[in-house]
Amino acid sequence: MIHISYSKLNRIKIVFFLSFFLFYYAFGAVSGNVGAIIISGYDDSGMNNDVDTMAYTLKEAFSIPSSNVYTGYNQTRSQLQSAISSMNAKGVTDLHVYITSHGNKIGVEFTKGIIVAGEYLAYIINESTAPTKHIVLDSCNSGAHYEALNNIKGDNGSIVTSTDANSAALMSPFGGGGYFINAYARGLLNSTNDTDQNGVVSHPEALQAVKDEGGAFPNWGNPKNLSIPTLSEWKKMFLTLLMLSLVMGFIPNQLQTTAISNGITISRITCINGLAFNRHLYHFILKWIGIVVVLGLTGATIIFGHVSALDITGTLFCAPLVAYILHLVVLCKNDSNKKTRIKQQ
Amino acid sequence: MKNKICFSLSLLLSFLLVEISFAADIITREQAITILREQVIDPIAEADFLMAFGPQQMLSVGDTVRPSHDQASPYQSSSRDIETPTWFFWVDTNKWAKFVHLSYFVYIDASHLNPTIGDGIYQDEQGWWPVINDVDYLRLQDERFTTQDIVYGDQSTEPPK
Repeated sequence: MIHISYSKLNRIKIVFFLSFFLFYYAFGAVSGNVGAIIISGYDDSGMNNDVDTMAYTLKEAFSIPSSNVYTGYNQTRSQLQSAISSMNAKGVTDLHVYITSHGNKIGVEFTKGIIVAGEYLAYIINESTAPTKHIVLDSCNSGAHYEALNNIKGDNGSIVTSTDANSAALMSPFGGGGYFINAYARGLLNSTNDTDQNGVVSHPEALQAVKDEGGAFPNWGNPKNLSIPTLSEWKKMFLTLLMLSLVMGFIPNQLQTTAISNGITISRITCINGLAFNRHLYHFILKWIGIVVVLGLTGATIIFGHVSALDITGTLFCAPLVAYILHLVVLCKNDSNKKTRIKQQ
Repeated sequence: MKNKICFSLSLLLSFLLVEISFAADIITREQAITILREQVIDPIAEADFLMAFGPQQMLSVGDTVRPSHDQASPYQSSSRDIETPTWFFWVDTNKWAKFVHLSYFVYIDASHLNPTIGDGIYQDEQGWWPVINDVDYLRLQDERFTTQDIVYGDQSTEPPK
């Protein structure tokens, strides 16, 4: 029988949970390299609704952080170029672009009266430094621009057009949005369309789902109304930290209980509803966490130009939990050292 | 003096008679709508999704009508200068479609009592919505479903199956 000392078991648990925590953050950092530009080139309520639909859908389907998503109604060509520059500055490597507007075989409308030729649109998007581009173009005759866009999609990119080169795209009034996009968004959010079982419904897989749905006029439906239970990134982080705090908070408490039962008091740990807590140590660590938070948010503002209110709020909610977890780690280390010295005595 | 009064009255009466006879040679909007339905809309195969619109007032000499964009490939983009009082109608063949898609600018000569296609009725194939005297006419889809200028078509927003 392999015997593992109690303190060593606690260290193993701490290392395990911290590793899980760091892996979660690392995964988030990697997925943060995904970005999206979602715009309409025309001031129409239906097209604006399509922008909202695709913003929600792409964020959910590809786990794109809100800080890497640009949306805009009735955009100009210059605004599209600025959005691409912004994504380049963020170091986006996997860029999703959705454009809805009027169009013809020549190009796509950007604000009233300006037709941007398909080849020039491809040139603009190709200013992105992202090696992979996924472009969804929703306009009449959008298929006429498939070749120009296909030449710039990069490695593992994809091009989807809502119609062929000779057909009109369809939409409904009063914010009803485009027929194609409503079906396409449903396809992206339906995990059963993940035919290659890689955990993500890709653009080609969603397009196939639309084709399989069939009919010139797919069933009506706005995917924003689907009751899919999802959490934002910050909520996930908060819940993870909360769970870690609760689990790890009971470990030092066990240490104390074990020490007391052996007649040895080795710490100044107090219990709050069964959770270990050292007020002095916690406030000390919280102060340093606060300094790190301020420096981090300031640095993010300088680098990216802005920090969203959600990011600030999420940081403020998570910081106390991070401080608590760190204070537990220090407590465990201190108690372990004290226990070793007592044994040696 | 009496002769002068009689002469003036007869002149006025003649003038009024000329005006009345002139007015009787101008077709009304309702008559123009009937002509539009019989000669332009009914022959169109995709009439199920079709909506047609027309301003409440006749176009006058010197007015201009053009499509909103120069490029409408594969459709033409012709504009027209109005030379006689004209009833203008815009026939949108697919109310669910974005632009470009097939639509018609229809001009019905108001002074032509029995117009036909090519003789009093002029029909231009277009891809974009019309612009009348540099003002967009029913540019937004929402407007097209709520305007009082609808002369043909279903305002229902239920999507087709």
